[in-house]
Amino acid sequence: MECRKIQEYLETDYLDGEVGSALKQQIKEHLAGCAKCRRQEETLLSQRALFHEAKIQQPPERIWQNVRETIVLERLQQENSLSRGIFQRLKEFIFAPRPVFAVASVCAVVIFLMVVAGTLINRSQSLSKADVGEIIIGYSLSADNGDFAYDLETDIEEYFL
Amino acid sequence: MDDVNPDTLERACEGSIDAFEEVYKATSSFVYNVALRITRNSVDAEEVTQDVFMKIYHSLKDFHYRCTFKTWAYRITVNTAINHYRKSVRHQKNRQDFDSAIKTLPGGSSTAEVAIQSDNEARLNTLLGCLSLEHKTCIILREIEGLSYQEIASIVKVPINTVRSRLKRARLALLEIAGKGLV
Repeated sequence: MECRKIQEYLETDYLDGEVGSALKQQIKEHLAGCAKCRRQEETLLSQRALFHEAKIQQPPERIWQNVRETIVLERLQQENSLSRGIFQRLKEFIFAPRPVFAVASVCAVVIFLMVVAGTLINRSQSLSKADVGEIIIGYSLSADNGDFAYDLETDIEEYFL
Repeated sequence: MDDVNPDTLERACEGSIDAFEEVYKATSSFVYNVALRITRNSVDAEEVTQDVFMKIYHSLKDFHYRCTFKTWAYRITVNTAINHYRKSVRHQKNRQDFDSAIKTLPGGSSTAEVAIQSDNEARLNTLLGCLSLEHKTCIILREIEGLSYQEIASIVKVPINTVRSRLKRARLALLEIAGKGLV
């Protein structure tokens, strides 16, 4: 196998233990006889050591305390919002229809005014009709008696009369 | 990391805080360490860890075992850490903070050990800081968490060949940086 191909394996699968046993054996054989590839392997291994020496840090205790506190707080808020939800709905039921009442009141007032105005207009109209009726009745009654209530003052009328 | 017991997950899902604490204890170490390596900052790592566990808590009901819990938790961690890192970089360009190494070392270590350890940590952090987020994530999951190509591919949601290629590029970039004596 060529050095280039071996070095590719060294940089990836071979170093990471992702090659099969047969290929691993092949690479090992190549490394035994190739100083250049062996150097590359050593360099990569020393770089890897830096990562392996990296200390695994333990997370500070306060992280869990914070997480726990946040969860407890969230649960309390949920419970509160649940109980508040009932009151809220009750409050909405009582207070939310206010605008509806306002609109209804305005409508009622408008309707009342219209009814009153309508009644007044009807009344005045009926009054004026009654006057006309009385005049006609008066006229006809006068006519029946042969006594005209109106001074006609025209020549033709005078002629006939 | 071993996968979390399904019974524990079930109880945590039903709202048991003790079961959720068990989940936390089983997974918090890798969450914090992955977050620490990606963000390279202990304060950010703490924020990310807290954020990850709140996300796990909220979406545990939606976890339907389509993948292992481990893969799912790693995925949330990686995504949260990357997003957090991007945001913090936007706010504070070229930020580097290596405070975590010295602060969290055990008290019994000698001064020489502490110095070597902190030097290694600083070197590793600087090297990781030179990589792109994609390369950095793959190399952290492989070299520090020891995950297989298949596991990394599932977490990052890319084909295995992409994982392979990212690891190769990351390693060559690290060798180049180290060869130039930048670290």
